Amino acid sequence: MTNSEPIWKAWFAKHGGKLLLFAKQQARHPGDAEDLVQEAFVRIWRIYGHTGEVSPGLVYRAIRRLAIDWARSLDRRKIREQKVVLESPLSSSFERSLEIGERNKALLRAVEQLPKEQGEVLTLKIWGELTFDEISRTLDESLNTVASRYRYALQKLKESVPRELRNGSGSSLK
Amino acid sequence: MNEFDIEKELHSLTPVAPSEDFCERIENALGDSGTVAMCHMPQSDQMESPPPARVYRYPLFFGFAALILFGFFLSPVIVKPFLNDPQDSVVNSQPSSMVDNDDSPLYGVSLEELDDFSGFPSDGWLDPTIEERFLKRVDEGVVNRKSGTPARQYRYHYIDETLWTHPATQTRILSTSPRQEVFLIDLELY
Repeated sequence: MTNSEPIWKAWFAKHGGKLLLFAKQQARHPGDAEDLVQEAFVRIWRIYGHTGEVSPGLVYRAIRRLAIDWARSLDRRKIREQKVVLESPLSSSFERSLEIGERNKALLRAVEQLPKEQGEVLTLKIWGELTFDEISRTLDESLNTVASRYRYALQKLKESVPRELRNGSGSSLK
Repeated sequence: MNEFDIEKELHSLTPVAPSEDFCERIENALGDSGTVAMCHMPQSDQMESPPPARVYRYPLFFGFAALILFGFFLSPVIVKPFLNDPQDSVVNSQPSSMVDNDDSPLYGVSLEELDDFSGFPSDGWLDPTIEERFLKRVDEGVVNRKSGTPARQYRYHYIDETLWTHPATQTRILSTSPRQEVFLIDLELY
């Protein structure tokens, strides 16, 4: 390989944004998301990076487990108290383009209102591009549970997006 | 609007790429492991490479060898011991002094004959000294154990040296043989 740029950069450019999105869902504090991604990615890359092929599922799984560990950790609580992070809507995690219209904004607001369990499955499936099998291993849930949550999430979005569209004029996207 | 449309719309939204600052943070945190792209294992590469053309000559060689063996088998000199009484076999016709010499390392050759043939004395050797020389350690990357847990595989290369010394004739014989040891170090993913 003649490319002088380390492989991890190309890998991270492809998956970094998706990992951050998932980490924001998993973090107990919004300021922890980047730290979670960094910690999880560096750990996994140190183990598997030499192969040049790292399964994103491994990093998603590491993010989730770290988030659980950090939630229990007193040290992390102290760090969180020192950080001042503004809560931001889910839409801020997506690229803004001219095409993003009211409908997409309403859709993202509806995604934000999903129960956490459904939201994380949706994120991993849609943006993480993981299979249900990979998602079940990432979340330590059965395949059926994961598939059901995804189906329920889509059903809920189908119902709530029109409502969000109606209410959209009141809550504009920042 | 059905669920398929919702999926399609969600797919059309792209998460924001990580910022430059964040990538820099990752780069610093990765350190050297960030620059290691691929670890090649020359031995495995050789194993995976297609067989060389000379492989196709093997059937010809084996055919020749089989023909020669068959010819020898049918020749009277070789056939004779098999046809005669087993008591007259080549081994049993040797002098008993040659066969029963337990001290000789070579069957059928006495120690005196061994001394004469080899030019080395058979007595008076000191106990051999054995030394293990470490050559290198090769990180062969991550492998999965049967249990499914990952482990990092290290291969240690050694040379084992055995030295026999015969002080009376100031003779020294050095034997070296390569040796490898594989170590698996369990990795904690989380």
